[in-house]
Amino acid sequence: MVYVPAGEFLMGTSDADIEHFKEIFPLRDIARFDNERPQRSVFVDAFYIDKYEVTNKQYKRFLAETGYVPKQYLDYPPHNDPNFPAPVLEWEDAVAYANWAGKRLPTEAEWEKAARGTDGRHWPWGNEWDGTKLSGNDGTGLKDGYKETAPVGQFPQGASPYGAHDMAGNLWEWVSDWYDPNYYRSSPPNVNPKGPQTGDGHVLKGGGWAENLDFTRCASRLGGNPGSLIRGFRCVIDAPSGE
Amino acid sequence: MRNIFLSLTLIALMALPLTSVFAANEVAIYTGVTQWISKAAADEQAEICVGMLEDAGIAVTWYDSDGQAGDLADWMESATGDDGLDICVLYGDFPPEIYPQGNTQTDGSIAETFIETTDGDTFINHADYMFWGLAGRNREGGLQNMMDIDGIVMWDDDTPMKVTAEGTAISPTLTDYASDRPFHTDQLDGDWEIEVSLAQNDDGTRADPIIVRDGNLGRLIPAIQTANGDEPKGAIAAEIITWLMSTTPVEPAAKLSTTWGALKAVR
Repeated sequence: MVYVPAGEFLMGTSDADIEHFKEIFPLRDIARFDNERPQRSVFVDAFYIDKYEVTNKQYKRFLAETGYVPKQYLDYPPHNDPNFPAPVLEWEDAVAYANWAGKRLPTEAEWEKAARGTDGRHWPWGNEWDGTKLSGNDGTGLKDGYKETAPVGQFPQGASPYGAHDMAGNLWEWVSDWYDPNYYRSSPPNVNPKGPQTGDGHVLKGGGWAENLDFTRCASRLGGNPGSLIRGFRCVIDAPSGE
Repeated sequence: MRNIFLSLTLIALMALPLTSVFAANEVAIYTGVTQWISKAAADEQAEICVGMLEDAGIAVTWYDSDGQAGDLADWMESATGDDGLDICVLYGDFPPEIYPQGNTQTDGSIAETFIETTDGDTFINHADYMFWGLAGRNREGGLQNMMDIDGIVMWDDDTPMKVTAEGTAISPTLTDYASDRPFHTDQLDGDWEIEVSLAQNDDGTRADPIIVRDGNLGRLIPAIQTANGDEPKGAIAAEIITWLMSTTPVEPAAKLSTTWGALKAVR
């Protein structure tokens, strides 16, 4: 796991970001970014987050030891290589693993801080798109070396400021928050926000191997029906007080 | 050349009421379950589509609840092989009533049979990956089994789509946009071929909307496959359907080949 210190960071998307997005994503309807606005400063306590997405090897150990039967786990090639991130399609199946491991899913705020640091950058590595720094949209495998999912940790050059890998691309990642597209506009708490009380499914972050540009931004958020998005997760633990 | 194309379209549109009467062309729209578009948004688009089709004199039935998937299956079976061009519009789901979930019937499903007659029957799909199915029932296998093309996929989020001249003529509502699940034209195989690419990337390897046809059999039309996008899917579908049905003859083989021949000549 990697350590993320307590403190504030910029969460969401600013008006200036939107102007930049008009240049980067000229064909995207700007309304697509509405659920990330407004950007605000958020404080989160210190925590540790998994350096990598939970792998199939880890998830299968959980299944073997507990007899847990997941609702939807893609345990077949090409997704079930031991070192690939576990494609756990249902949020409840991710929570079950986290509980067994003595951890929990990150809040959306924790996830986003771990991915982008404190400076509001678009991607874990900075503000410019670089298809060589993630397992992203590449049906041929020519851009990033992997046709679909990649083993975890293959893109150290795309690591976040705190050293977390694959926060952009590979698999979308579940967080603990319920999804409400209007949540950011509802003046949510600025200290350790945990999301709305209920919502339209749970939030997914980070984009996946089938996506490239805008979905892989740290501020991107999806909820509701995730459809053909392949989902995984990583866990966090609270840092001992005083850290 | 574009003027010729527009003239052809105009002539075809003028003939629409007559062909509709004789060819028994029908449209079914299903919004009982949706994916990558909320049901409310899908219903809104479907309502627009229904209105435009009715204005064009095209018979349309809208199945707007998941409890009507069986009715959709009944409609599809009755429409298959009836000598009319029938079109089913989906909003990101692929009901198991017409294609058993999990690819448990790789051949001969109601849906596959629908597109395997010379009627030219057609699926149009909006929003999520064509034939993926809710919660990944079929994943890539849905499209691959329906087309009988191993390995064909619809990945490639954020692919810029530029409207072609044919696209502008067929669907004036269509504008440049980014598709999240474009059709991979470079993976076409067997008798499948491109009839009309309405919008595509620079090298033409990705397209959406696009009309592809299995020889002289059925068609698939992925149309605006985007994640939670608010594009005018209903209007675009209606324009494509209206145009497609306007080219469908009373005696399918002769007029169709003539029309498509003329179309290909201007491409």
